[in-house]
Amino acid sequence: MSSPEWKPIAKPSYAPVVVYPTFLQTLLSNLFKDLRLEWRSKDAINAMLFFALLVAVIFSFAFAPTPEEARQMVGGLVWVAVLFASIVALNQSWARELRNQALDAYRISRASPNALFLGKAIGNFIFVSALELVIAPLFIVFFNLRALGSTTALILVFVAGTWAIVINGTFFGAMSLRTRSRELMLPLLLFPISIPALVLMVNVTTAVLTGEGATRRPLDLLIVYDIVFTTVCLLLFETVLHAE
Amino acid sequence: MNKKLVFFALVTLGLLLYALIQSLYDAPHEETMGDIQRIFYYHVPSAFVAFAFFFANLLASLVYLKNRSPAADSFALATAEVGVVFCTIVLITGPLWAKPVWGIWWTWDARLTSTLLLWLIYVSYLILRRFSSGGQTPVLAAVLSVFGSVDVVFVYMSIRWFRTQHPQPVIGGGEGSGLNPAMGYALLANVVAFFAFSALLVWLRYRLERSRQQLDELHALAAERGSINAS
Amino acid sequence: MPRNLLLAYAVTWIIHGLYVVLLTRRAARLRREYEELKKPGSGR
Repeated sequence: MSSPEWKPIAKPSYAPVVVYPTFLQTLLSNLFKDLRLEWRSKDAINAMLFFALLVAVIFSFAFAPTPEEARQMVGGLVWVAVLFASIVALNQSWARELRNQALDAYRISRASPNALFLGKAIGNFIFVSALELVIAPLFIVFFNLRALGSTTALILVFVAGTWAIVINGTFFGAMSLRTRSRELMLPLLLFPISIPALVLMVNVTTAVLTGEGATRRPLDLLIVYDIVFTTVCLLLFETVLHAE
Repeated sequence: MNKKLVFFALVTLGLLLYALIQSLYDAPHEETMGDIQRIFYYHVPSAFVAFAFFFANLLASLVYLKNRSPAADSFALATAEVGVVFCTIVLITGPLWAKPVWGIWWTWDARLTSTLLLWLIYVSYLILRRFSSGGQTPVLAAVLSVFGSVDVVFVYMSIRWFRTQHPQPVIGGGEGSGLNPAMGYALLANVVAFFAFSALLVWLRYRLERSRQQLDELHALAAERGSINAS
Repeated sequence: MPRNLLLAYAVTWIIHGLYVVLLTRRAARLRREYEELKKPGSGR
C-alpha cells in the first residue's frame, strides 16, 4: 500500500508577516526619539546654553581683551565654550538609554548597532549646532566681531568642527557608560583625542575673524580627521556596545 | 623562569652601568653647550622606548580585539605602564636640558606637543583601565588604544601645519641635525641599555598581570565553591 | 657637573626606582592573597 500523499498546506491568512526595519529606518527612529525627548524636557539645551555663556563671560573678565586682542582670542574662546558645553549634552545622551534597560534591549535586538550610534551622533550634532546658532550672535555682540575672511570657510569649519567633537564624544560617551565617575571619564577621554581637531578649528575660525591666515589646508586636514575618526567609530562601536 | 629573569636583570644592570660610564666620561665634551648636553644620552633613548612601547601597545590591543587573549591584554597593560614611566622621564629631562641651553623650558612645536599628547593618551588609557568595572575593561582599553594611535598621527600633522603659520623657537637643534660619531656610540650604548631595562620591566609587569588574572579566577572559583557549600 | 645634568639623571633613576618598588609591593600583595586563598577556608 502506498502512503498517503502529503500535500503542502496553504499558509493561514492570519500568520503575521514580519518586516524588519531597514538601517535607515532604525537610524531615523533613534534620531527622532532623541530629538523628541530633548524637545520635551529641554534639559540639556538649557544647561549647554548657560554654560557656554558663562565661559564667555568668565574669559572676558579673566583676560579683559582690547578689541584687537578679542579678535585674536575669540576663535579659541568659542570652541572652548562649545567643547565644554557639549560635554553636558554628550553625558546626558547615553544616560537616557540606561533607564528601563533600553540599551540592553537594543543589544539583544536585531537592530544594527551603528544605526543607534549614528542616530545619537546626528542628534547630538543637531543639539550642539543649535547651541552654536544661539551663542554666535551673542559672541558677535560681546566682542564686536565681523567676518573679515571667507564666510564659506566659517560655515565649513563649524560643520566639520562640530562633527569632530560630536562623533568622538558620542563614542566615548558609550565607552564611559560602565565606568565609575562616568561624567568625568567622558571629557578625560575626549579632550586628548580632540586636540588636533581643536587646533585646526580654532585656527580656521581665527583666520576668518581676523582676515589673515590660510584656511584651505587646515580645513582639508579637519575634514580628513572627520572622515578617519567617523570610520574608526563605526568600525568599533559594535565591539563597545557588546562589551560585557 | 626565575633564573632567566635574574640573569637578564644582571645583564641589564651591566649594560646600564656601562652606558652610564659612556655618557658621563667616554662621550666627548660638547663645545657649545658643555656637559649639560649629556642629558641627551638619557632623554633620547627614553623617548625611543616611550614611542616604541606605544606602538607595542597598539599591536597588543589589535591582537586582543582579534582573539580576546588575556595574554595580549596583559602585554598591552604592561607596555602602557612602562611606556608612561619612560614618557614622564622624557618630559622632565627635556625641559631640564632646554632651560640652560636654549633659555626656555618648553615650546609648542610638533615634537614636544606630540610627546606631551602621547603622555596624555597613555595616562587616559591607564585611568580608563582603573575606572572601568569588571569584565569589559580589556575591550574598552584596546579600543581606546586604537583611537589614541590614530590621534597621535593627527597631532603631529596638525601641529606641524600650525607651526608653519606661527613659527616658534626650535629646541634640540631642529629636525635632522648632524651627530658626532663618538656621541653616536654613547647614544647607542644607552639605547641598548634602556631597551633592555624597559624589556625587563615589561616582563615583570606582564608576569604580575598574568598572576593577577589567575588569582581572580581562583577567587571566582573559591566563591563558587563557598556558595555551593553554604547552600 | 652641571646641576641640571645631575638632576636629570637623578630624577630618571628615582622614577624608575619608584616604579620597581611599586611592582614589588604589588607582587607581595598578590602573593599574600594567594596564600590566603590556598588555606582551606575562604569560600563564604
